[in-house]
Amino acid sequence: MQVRFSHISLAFTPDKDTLHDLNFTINDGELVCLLGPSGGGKSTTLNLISGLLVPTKGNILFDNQDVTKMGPSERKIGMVFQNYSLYPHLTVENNIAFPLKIAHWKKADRLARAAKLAKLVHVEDQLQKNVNELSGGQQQRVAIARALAKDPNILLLDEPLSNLDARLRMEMREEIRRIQQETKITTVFVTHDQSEAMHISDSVMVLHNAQIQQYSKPNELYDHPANQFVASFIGDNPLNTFDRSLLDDTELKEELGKVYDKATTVGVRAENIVLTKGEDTYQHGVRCKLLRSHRYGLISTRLYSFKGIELDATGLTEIHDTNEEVEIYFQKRGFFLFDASGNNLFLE
Amino acid sequence: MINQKISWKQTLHALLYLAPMMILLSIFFLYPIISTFILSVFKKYNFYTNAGQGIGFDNFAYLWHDPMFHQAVKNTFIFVLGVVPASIIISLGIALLLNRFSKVRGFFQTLYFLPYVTSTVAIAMVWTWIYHSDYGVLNFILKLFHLPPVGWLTDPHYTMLTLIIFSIWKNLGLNIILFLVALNSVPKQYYLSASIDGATPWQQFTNITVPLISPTTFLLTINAMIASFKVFDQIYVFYHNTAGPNNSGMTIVYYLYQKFYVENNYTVASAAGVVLFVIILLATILQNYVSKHYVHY
Ligand SMILES: Nc1ncnc2c1ncn2[C@@H]1O[C@H](COP(=O)(O)OP(=O)(O)O)[C@@H](O)[C@H]1O
Ligand SMILES: [Mg+2]
Repeated sequence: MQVRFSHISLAFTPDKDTLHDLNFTINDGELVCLLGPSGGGKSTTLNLISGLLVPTKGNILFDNQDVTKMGPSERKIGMVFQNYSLYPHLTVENNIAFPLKIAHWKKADRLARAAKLAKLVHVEDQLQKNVNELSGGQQQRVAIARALAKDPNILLLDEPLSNLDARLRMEMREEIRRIQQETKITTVFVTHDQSEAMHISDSVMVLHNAQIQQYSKPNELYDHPANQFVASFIGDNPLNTFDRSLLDDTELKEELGKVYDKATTVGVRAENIVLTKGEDTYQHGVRCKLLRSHRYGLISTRLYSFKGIELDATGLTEIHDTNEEVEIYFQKRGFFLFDASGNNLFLE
Repeated sequence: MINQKISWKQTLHALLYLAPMMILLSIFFLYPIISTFILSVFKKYNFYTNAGQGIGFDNFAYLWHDPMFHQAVKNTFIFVLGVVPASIIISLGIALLLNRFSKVRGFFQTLYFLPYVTSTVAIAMVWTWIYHSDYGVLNFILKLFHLPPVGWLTDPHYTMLTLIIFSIWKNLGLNIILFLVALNSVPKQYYLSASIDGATPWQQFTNITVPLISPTTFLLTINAMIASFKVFDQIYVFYHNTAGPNNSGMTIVYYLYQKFYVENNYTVASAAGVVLFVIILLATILQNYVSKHYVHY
């Protein structure tokens, strides 16, 4: 089912909008991530879709039908909460069948349905167990099965993986992707973990400061971030940023052309700093000194000092001495200029 | 430490710490209980010399044949059945209401809790006025609805009802407070989740609230049941040192009191005590058994 927000605003207190004038469409059968830092309004957006919250302004449409005034149960959605919210007094089977019991299904029918869903999420051998005998990942699976019990139009998941350890998180995000693709259900997935969002989704919506910062395909976020916030938020390494004026007396300035004058801030990804120039780099580099380097397993990082500021670089293999002056080059795909309000100037 | 075996020395050490409490417990609980059991099987007993003669079950045979004791047992069961379920249901209902209206909660909480912390005797005195046939508030209210006045404290047919109403009211305070605590400890997310599934408030109550507060319900039921089996003070105050008109308010503990202090029949009183002990024990075992199936911890 397609979901559309049209000029949605929501204010918990009259003086400040928690969400301001949101417009977006989630296409039928897509898995969309709501991504952003804590307090960015992700859960609020999700609760607007579910009907647990009512917008202050604007309309919500499901397949062009206005559902703004409808309650959660009328909207036919399934929801998975961060701590799963499984009923501790019920078995796995009865947890999955709970929504059907509420809907007055016959016992045999609802247990049959529960068994089918348990198979889908791979907990068919746990049906008679109590939910607190299950591991975190299994509980997660049960919660998803329960959310799918009534064959909802939309599946909503609010930070479903954040209670799991790192390895299980990776396993479960693939599982969620698999289940979503098998059921082809329109899914909205909330997370504050950019790598999770990048791996799992068809599209990612970055929410921050009451607004959508960017809504696009995952790789697009990385390759063409709309603004400084998105550029810093996406990617495994931190974005190096510094004041544009530091480049004023370099030849790199000339190479960047007209757009340079509008910029106030420069951003460079750590993985796009290299020591030799090539076709994918700017032809002029900057001189800096190596301060120190570390290695954490696969990833080695170096800290260079450039005009009093520090630049992180990762993935460099050429060896040179600490304190030695070297020329570093910036690869174009990881180099950004931002104007005063943070917009990416290369996108214009 | 955790996986070490505990040595004799350590055990002795622990016992030393426990000793003061153990001694107090023995003097004030264990010794009286054992004495009661011993007393109940003496055929003859001299209170002043603390000497018993002859061992047998005569006292229990006496109880078996005493119509007054039959009356006492019957009344006690009527009382327990009248008070316990009603006080649990009413206090849960009030707790649910108070939980909704959080602003007035503190005020009502105090109001309901007052009777619990005040002595039963003092409150019962006040209630003798509420129950008064001619000037009482209760009969005044009945009159407003054009109902005939009731001799709450004088008509033997109403004795048990009078006692039951008072005791339900007296139990409310503690029950409401503990139910409020239990209701608050149910995570709100369960209700959100259920409401997304379209559960009505009643379905949420029966499917989520009831099972999740069941440990509290169980605790309060046991507590109310034991207290009700031991009912005494209110009878004593309401009926001025009698068991009500025609002994219509005779209960096991009142019977025990009567035998012990009024008739100085210590051995029969002890036997009645033992019977009460066994009844409460059986009732508790039964409840524990039932709770295995219905209480979710
Ligand atoms: N029920 C509420 N009442 C008042 N403010 C709220 C409420 N829920 C959330 N907020 C505020 O709205 C903002 C967005 O919250 P939320 O949507 O939960 O963020 P996220 O899920 O992205 O961490 C936060 O600043 C939060 O404090
Ligand atoms: Mg949240």
